[in-house]
Amino acid sequence: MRRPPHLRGEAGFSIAELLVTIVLVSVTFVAILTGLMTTIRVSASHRTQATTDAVVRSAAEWVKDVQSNPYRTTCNGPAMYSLNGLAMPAGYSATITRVEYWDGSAPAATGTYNLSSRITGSCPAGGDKGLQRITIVATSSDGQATETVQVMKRAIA
Amino acid sequence: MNVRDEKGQALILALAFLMFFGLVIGVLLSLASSSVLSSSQLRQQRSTVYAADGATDAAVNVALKNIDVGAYGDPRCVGLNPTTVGSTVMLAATATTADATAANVVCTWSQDFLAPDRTVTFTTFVAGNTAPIVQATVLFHDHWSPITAEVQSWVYCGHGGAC
Repeated sequence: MRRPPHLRGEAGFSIAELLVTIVLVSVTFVAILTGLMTTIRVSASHRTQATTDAVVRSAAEWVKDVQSNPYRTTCNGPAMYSLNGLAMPAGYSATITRVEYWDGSAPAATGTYNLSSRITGSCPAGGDKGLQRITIVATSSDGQATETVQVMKRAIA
Repeated sequence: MNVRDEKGQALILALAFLMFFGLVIGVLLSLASSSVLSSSQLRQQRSTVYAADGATDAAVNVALKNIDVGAYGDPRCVGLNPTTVGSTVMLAATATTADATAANVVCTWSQDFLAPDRTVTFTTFVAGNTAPIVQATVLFHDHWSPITAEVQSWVYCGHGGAC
């Protein structure tokens, strides 16, 4: 068919140009979508971690608090303390996993006292010495975040 | 308008298009990385505070059980409250947090050698920070039986290390 005179010189895009455009737009679109998905996923993971962090901090303060958990000297491990009564958001839990004890050894007359070698898993001879290290673990039910803290609990005397 | 003048415009448009969406993707990824960084900072801040608190609690308990700790002129302590950790460290601990954050406690001895009780200030430094994190002043009632520790102040120092 012969083209009318006014359309001459106004040829459309070639198939190659169209294909390049489609590929370019698709690649860009996929890249943006992937970036967006990554941001959303990381943000959700951050939220879970931040909430787990808040839960573990609350549990730590709950254990340290003398009103909710008075200092116990019975040396029977995590059973000495409880997280009952601590409000936690749905989908998160916290547990006291371990209690360790200061062995009560006296410092030398000079020099630095190294506490790290003075904490033991078993009850010291003669009973508790007034300082314990308590390990608390908080987890999210989806398994995305687990946070562990250790706090020192001192007998108030 | 001459159509020939528009030659090469497609390249400019394509480059502008790529640059714009490149920036969009860059912003999205930096948003994601700032979330990751924020999680890590939150955990580090928690470790710092619990390491300082734990080491200070331990130092108070050690001084409670040992009457000469923090007494006037005690060589394990210093005469004035420190602003940086020096060579005299009363107690060192890497065991007060799950990630083994190192904390050092410097004690300031009782200033009044005639007083029957000890008033000791514990200043705690945590690895990675030059300024102190916690400063606690404790009055030990040495003439009571049993000896008791009365915490007079427990201060978290500011970013500049002011307690």
